[in-house]
Amino acid sequence: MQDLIIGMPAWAFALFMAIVILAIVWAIAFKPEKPKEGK
Amino acid sequence: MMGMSVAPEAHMTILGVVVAYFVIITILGVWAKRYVKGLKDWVIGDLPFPLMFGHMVATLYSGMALIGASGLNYRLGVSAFAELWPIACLLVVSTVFAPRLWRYARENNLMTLPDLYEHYFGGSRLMRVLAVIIVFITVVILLVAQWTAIGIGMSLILGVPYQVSVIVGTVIVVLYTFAGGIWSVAITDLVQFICFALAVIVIAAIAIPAFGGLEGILSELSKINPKLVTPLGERPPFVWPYIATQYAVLFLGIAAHPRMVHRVYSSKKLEYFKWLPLAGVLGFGIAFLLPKYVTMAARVAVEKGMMPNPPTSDWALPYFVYYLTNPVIAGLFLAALFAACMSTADTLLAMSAPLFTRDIYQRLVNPNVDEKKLLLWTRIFTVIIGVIAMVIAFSPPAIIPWIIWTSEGLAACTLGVSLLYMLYARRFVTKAGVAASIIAGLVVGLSFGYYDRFVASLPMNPFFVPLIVSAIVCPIVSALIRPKKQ
Repeated sequence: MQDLIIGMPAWAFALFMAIVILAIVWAIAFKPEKPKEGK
Repeated sequence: MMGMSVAPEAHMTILGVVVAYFVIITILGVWAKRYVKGLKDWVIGDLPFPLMFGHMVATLYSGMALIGASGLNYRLGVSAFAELWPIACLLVVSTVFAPRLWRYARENNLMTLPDLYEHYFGGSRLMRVLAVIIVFITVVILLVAQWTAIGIGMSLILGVPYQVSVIVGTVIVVLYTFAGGIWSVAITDLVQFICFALAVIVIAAIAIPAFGGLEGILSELSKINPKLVTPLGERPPFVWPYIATQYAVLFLGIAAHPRMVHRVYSSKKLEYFKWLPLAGVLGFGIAFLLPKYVTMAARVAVEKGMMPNPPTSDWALPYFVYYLTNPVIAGLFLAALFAACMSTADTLLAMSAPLFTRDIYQRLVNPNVDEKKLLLWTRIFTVIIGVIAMVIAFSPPAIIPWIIWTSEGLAACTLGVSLLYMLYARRFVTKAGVAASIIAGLVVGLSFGYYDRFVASLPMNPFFVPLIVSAIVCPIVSALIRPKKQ
């Protein structure tokens, strides 16, 4: 069971954390451009 | 201790909570009619953030948690935690697809996915027809599956006859979708998510300590079968070649599925996509991960004779809740669970009706139709499609589970590939290239899907090769067939 973190496979947990970090980075870096007026 | 049952009073309490929930959600859904002034409000709505959260996050996770996802942990143990594609896909939607797609849709007043394909290629009817075909395969047929799921769930757990359950589900969903279109869909989604989340948190908080915490559950599981606690499974979908290709296919398949594109259109503001990946993490943690832990406890409970064996692993979670938790919590949870099935069905229904009225009738047959009339017909089609799907669901044909299973894979190798090229490599794609890539993706995808399911299992996700084929066909055909310069 040493390959598990909170019951998840260690690699899946690492991927999960990577997604969380990317989500945070995206929220900080996101700058939307304004859309042009609809035609 | 098999064949144990819940006390009649507890059963009545659960049934009462479920019925009350259905009544409230129907009233709320019909009340949302006030937000609908025209066809555009009904179809895409311009939804504020909380409703976008409900609409995107809730349906994605709580629907999946019932069918398949949590049951996989019951059956396969911890290796099923590899199933992270739903959370990653919301990141892909928000970062890769949504910003450009949303802006393009708003700048050009688009309402549906076929609108996009037609407009992008300068009013091409061919592209509209191709997109209509893909939406029909990936959306309309999926509706039947949801009706079936509602029917099975209610009959299995509440003891309501299957056909009655299907009728009740249809009436509720058709009623509120008819009234408020996407507004009703999103409002009921949000309510459903809140109930589901509250119930799941309480259930996990009680269930996990009751079985000796995570350590206790894991050690019990390893006594049942050591393979339940190994990080990689032995069979697909949890072996490496399968996991890797599965991620590639589902990143695109869930993110570019017509359902998701439609949700991107529905957002009132582009800024919402800034927070959606984090909101997705939250939703995933509560509605997707927690149930997985609970079903591992359910496996231990079955082993110890505390609850009966569920008919399939899909029903491990509802069974656990029904037999082992407080009736009021169980009622709330089960109501939210059926509502999760309904909230998948209502989105599909709200997309299916405009497919016939807006995409086919208005755009291909009679462009001068009055908008009020079109909205009325869209609502009428909601009823027609809902009833047809209901009748089919009474005795679903054998081909339907296969089509449902192919839905996301086909979306990846048709829409996923072409949308990526259209949004990011405009200079390199032509109408012929995208049309060829969609057709190639569809034909090769159906062939590989058929082979994998009915002939012999492939060592990877069957839609990975079709995805590559489609991705190669698009630029090659685009380069070969350039439109003549005027």
